[in-house]
Amino acid sequence: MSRQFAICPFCGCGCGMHLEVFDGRLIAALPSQVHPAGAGRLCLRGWQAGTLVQSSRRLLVPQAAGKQASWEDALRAAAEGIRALAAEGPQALGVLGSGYLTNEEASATRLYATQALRTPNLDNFAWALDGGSIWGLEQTLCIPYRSPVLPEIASADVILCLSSSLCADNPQAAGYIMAAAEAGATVIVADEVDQGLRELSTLWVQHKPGARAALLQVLWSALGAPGELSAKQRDTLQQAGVDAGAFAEMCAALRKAKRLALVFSTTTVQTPAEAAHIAEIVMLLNASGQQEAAVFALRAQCNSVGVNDMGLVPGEGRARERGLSLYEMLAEPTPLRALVVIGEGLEKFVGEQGLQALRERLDFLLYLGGYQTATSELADVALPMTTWGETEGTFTCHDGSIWPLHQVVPPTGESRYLPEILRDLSVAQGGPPLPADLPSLRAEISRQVFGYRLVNWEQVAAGQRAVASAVPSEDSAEVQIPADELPVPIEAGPERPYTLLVRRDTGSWACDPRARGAEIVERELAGHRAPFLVINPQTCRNLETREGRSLTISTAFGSQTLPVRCSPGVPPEVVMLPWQFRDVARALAGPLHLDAASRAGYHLPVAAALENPSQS
Amino acid sequence: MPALAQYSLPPTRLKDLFQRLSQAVDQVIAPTRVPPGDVFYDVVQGPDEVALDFGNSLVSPVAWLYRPVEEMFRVLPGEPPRVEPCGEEGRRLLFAVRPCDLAAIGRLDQFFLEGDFRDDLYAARRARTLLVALACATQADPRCFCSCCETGPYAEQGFDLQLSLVGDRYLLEVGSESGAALAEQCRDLLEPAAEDLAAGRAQQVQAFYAGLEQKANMPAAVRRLSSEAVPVELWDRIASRCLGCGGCSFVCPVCTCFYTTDQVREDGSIVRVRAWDSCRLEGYTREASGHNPRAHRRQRAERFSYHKLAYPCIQREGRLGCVGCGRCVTVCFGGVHMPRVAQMIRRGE
Repeated sequence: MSRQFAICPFCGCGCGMHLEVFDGRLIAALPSQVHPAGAGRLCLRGWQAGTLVQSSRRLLVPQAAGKQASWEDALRAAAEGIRALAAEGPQALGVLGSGYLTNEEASATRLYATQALRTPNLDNFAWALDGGSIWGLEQTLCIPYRSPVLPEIASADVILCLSSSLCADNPQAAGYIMAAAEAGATVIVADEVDQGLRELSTLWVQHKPGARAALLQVLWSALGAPGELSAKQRDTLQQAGVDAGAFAEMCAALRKAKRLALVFSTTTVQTPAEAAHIAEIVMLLNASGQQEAAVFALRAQCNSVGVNDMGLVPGEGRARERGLSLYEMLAEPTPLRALVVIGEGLEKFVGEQGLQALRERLDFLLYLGGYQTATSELADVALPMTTWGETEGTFTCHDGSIWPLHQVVPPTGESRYLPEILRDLSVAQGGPPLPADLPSLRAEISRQVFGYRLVNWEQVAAGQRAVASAVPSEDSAEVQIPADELPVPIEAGPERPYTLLVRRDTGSWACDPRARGAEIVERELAGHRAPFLVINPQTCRNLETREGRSLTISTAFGSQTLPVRCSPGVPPEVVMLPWQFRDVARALAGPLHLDAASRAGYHLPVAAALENPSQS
Repeated sequence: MPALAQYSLPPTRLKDLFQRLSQAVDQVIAPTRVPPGDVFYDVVQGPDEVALDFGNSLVSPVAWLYRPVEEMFRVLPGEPPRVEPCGEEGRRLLFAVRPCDLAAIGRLDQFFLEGDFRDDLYAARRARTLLVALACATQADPRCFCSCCETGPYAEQGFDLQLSLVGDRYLLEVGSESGAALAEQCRDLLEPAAEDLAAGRAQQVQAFYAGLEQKANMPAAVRRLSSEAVPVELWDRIASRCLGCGGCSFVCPVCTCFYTTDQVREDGSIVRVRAWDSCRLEGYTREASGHNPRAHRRQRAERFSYHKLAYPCIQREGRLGCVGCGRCVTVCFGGVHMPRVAQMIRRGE
């Protein structure tokens, strides 16, 4: 039996774990007590990470035209498919990479896009999830954003948490908040719905859907100019549905804070404007010299930081015109003819119906991944790549620390190391032989990525602490913030008295095919497969239905009949829909609202009507 | 149970003792430090790999008897298919096992060997394992509360040999016939135990009790829980702080929840695999019909605590379902670990 240290391959917390290998098989992932992020704690996904490699959902052999193929044939088919469309110009091609890729794999992906395909259309899945808020922070703070290490949350005396979902969505951060509360910290939770953290809070500040930015702007201005709120501010708070007493208490707590932790998940706070206000509050408090304030933006994918540092970003940067972002590539009509998807399925962003439609719009779809997904099934060519546990590499965690990943088991099936696949693909297309071994890729990273120039890769591989200094962005674009931020207008009326809220932080990891391959996780997620609505129990009674039965929800965009679940944390006038049910979300909330600067996308709340179909 | 014999061992001979014990088995499992600094019980090749300067490992050495994931049997393709047992392993010595973990092994013995069903995998592994305990009197971990569960700092039974550092010497106690045979093989390294060693041992126990940071009045919690005097709201409060990771079950050396699954291997064989599971998870008790007798987290929290602390369980199994190792203190996000739960139950808060 052998044991090897690793970083958890799921969210952006970057918890340390030990992989236990027995008889050539990865059998368990066990927590590391000395690693700073987790300190011995893992969430359910982390505990089950040991089952990922041998998952029944692994993609084992290359597929071409829906049939098993040899590597040689599959590579030839992929190269021919791309070469035929490359003649139409680099703008016809696009590359998307997962935030689960290692730094070395991400670097190889960038080289493939820029040197083999010569396309500026390059983006990563992690940015699509947390880009909006990270962009808002970076553009306001004027520095690349790195989070402090998570245990520092526990040393705060006041915590303002903007994600009530952390108990389920990010237990590690929730654990540190609970530890701080135990030590006497004031925990303020401000959100539009309560997904569990309210019970553990000192103060609960509820606001209406779409009113977070308005609340934060009033909070910032109130902290900057103590005294009575102006009539306009009071009016804004009223429109935001915020209780004046709770707001006053929140202001008082923040003014008294010695160490303030502002915590949110990027799956909750999604817009640059919201994040910009958070940054403004932090800067304001720090400027006093009497207070220390820090932002803890909890990222969605394990190497969210690394894949952006490695340059898996559109063209010359997000603020430039050149190069399409993920949502632009997937938009209808897509300007692309061929798309290369690496490490994750597209259905996560467009839904299975959306994927079918996209597939019809594309002339060629190439998938490289470790798991079977709807994308691998629809791809012209699907190539199996090695995954976490089967490859050497590094992750860059939320605080910029670089941690090694080691190969602990041989590749499953016929899967191969991604950089080697991309090198062979490039050569088969008539492109250059790209670097495909770790030393060459790391030398490339040291040359090309400013913050990584001083990284000693040998020390990193040996487990010694190394930190990548923040990678300066060449982008520069102001976050567009209205002078007087108001809640997102929702045209509610007698016909549509409810507000449909699409939340990204409600069991979103249920759609990760890797997690679904783990028996226990698969079992625990059984209730998250099919779409459902979450409503207040009172709404349920008013509509004379009960949990598990279906209601028909109608918006300006469409209508769906879905089973309901009850939660007292959802206000009576709100209907919540988990974001991962992409086809339903698009049908009810319309297309994503795309932020022009950050190129992140999110749903805006919309007015909705509910009807009990058994009564109509 | 009094030790069968007691010896004294100068610390300078500890490595020699280890070497001698190693010769009696095929494999020695001992605490060892692995990068970036965690202590695990792993196979070691020599005494220099052994780490004795630790409180307790996060994963119990019990994991070497009841594996996190293990193959139960294999069905080989053919006409007819052939069933082949799994689990052949050599003789092992678990070195420096803490007394709380020894108590847990006693509990697992009851569960896997003495109930209505006998687990052959566990039985075979257990029969081939020798246990050398390391008392904790000088090294209580801040999370430990073994004294509250009467499982430490010294083991009173269940070991073959027990080592404890008393003053400037090790006290070696013999706890079984197998242990006596081992001690006999090391006889030239050992000296008779002087009386002051026994006195020093007793003094250490008192000092250890005084120094424990975690304290849980288990008997009071048992009384209250068993008399059904616990307010229902208490389980809600515990449930609100439980984030459903299952970590408490996974690190608890006494917990035995598992699931089985059949895996098809590349060579066409089918392997039945058993893996750790947790009754703290919603799906563990979900029935095929969809009905779940413990669908709510508070019900699972109550059941878990009941199984650990309630008198009927203690009566049936002869001891508490908690050995005070403190591992749940480390892994619980919400701080609703066993000493805290016992305290909440006792106070009815």
